[in-house]
Amino acid sequence: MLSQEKVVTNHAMGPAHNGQGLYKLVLHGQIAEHAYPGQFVAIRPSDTNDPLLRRPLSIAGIDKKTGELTLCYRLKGPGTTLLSRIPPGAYVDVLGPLGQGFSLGRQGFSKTLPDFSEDRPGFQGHPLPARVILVAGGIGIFSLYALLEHLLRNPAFWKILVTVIWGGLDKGFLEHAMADVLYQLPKENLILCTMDGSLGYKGLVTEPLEHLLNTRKTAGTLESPNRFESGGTLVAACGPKVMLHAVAELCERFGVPSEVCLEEHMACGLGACLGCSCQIKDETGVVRRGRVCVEGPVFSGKEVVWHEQI
Amino acid sequence: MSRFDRSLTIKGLHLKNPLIACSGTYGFGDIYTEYVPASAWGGIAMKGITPQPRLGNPAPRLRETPAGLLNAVGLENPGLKEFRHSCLPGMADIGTAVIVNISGFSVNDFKFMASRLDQEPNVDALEVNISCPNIKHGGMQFGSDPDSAAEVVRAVRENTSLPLIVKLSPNVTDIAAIARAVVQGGADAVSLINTLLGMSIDIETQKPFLGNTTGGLSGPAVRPVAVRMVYETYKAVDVPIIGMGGITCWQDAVEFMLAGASAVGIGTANFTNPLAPVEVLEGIEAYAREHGYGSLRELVGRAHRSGD
Repeated sequence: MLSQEKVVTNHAMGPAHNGQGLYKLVLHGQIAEHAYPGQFVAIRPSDTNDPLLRRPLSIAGIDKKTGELTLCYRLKGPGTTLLSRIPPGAYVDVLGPLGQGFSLGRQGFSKTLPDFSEDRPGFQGHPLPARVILVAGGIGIFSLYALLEHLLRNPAFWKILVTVIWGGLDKGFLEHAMADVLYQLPKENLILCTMDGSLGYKGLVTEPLEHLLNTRKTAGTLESPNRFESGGTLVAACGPKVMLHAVAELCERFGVPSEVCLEEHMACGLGACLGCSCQIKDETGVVRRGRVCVEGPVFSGKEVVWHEQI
Repeated sequence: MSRFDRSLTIKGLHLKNPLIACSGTYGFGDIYTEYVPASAWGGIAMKGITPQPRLGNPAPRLRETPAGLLNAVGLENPGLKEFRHSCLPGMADIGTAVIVNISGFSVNDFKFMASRLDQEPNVDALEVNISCPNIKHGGMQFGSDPDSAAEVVRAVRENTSLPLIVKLSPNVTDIAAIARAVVQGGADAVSLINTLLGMSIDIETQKPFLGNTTGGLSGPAVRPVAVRMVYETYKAVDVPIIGMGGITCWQDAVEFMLAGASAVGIGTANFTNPLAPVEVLEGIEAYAREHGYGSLRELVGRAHRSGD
């Protein structure tokens, strides 16, 4: 839908003077009611023609009771700079919710959400997994915040063991991009990684992920740990493409389904411009085009063609 | 309110209003229906079709530039056969003129598509794309030389009785010469401009930003170039002109009509503002009424009149 949403808050994330350029924008309006985790919106930063395009922003939080939608973004250029200056009380032009999000994001609401994924292998309402591992790289954590919040809030998911593995450049980045929802996890279920080792594990997120996939029993609140087979795990990931590729490959090696949230340059967000078109393969290996904005941004890790053949 | 006429006819193609959704910005007319009914448009130019399916160019395909957009999609499309089987049947009750945009890599490609589409009941007109800047062979090459442009149009003309619109490239020295050639070849109308060839370099990687190296520029940044070319083409040919290039509001559309456009295309603006066609149509009608005209046709080419 096309909605004029009212800005509730719009400010830098984390401690002041952070220099990370990360912002959190909370909107009030109609979109929250229809959104689910993994989807995104396209927001118009200005009503002039420069910058020309809407900015796609991932949804970082959905509150259907209050009608509030949380979006997090990084200052990147003139569009996001203008966006960061919009004061509370102002209205912004938002298109959304857009795309298909995480399969678990679609479940657990009282109202049935439309399922667009009938022809998508790997997405067909698999039974609830025993374990969910959320893997994020950098600001990829933003769209996983919405999913994590959804999993923790909804009693239907309380038997699922949820673990987050999140990697960033350094301690400064992680501290500023951090959201309260992460603190709701038992400490042992939050694995932080930094490239320089300044916080948490030093190295890439794939290493702790591999370790977890190797572990059949892990600390947590799982009711019947014996059910804990590798097939009972679902991995949901968002981050740089190289990371998503590595995560998808690792999951395939362990026979674990993965869902990856892709990012691509897009102009319309509705499937018209074909700017965000990526290559998708079906189970027989036939390659076709999928639009990140319509068929995605969340795809099954198995269906993405990581090195496109032109 | 007095009777007001928004309609126009291009050689057998009746358009209830002069607004055309530009090819490549509106899919097959099915994408924006939640925001604007297809029937709001005078016509929709469908995403360009080639004889065979194409996966298009590698990412990144888009780069935003000041008041503009560079794209190098590369004619990603399902191919003629799939288009005829899956897309065209659904267009029977679309409520607007269906303009099928065709592209090819040889004269034979164009002949083949024209003959296959000629008998399709849901096709109202063909737009012959001799101006795509994003494919290696064919495309813009046909549209850069008057003789080869005319040859393509003649080949299409001989294979169909459908109204023919020829989409012209701005990447030429003299667009009037190309326009005259395609009209001699049998064009019933011309649409212009396609995108301007451009490029952007990523100063971090020190490499071309787009996967295709170069791309086509659209959006408000190209508008003055497009207005000038419509103005020149109006002086050169007698067929209707569909003017396009950076139109975002009714004032832009009026400018094109004054320059000589009988119809106007809205393209890139749809991405930012899905309601653009509704706003533009209301605005140009109000402008024409304020000036005492009884039809939108009376605006066309007024910037050319001499005296007063």
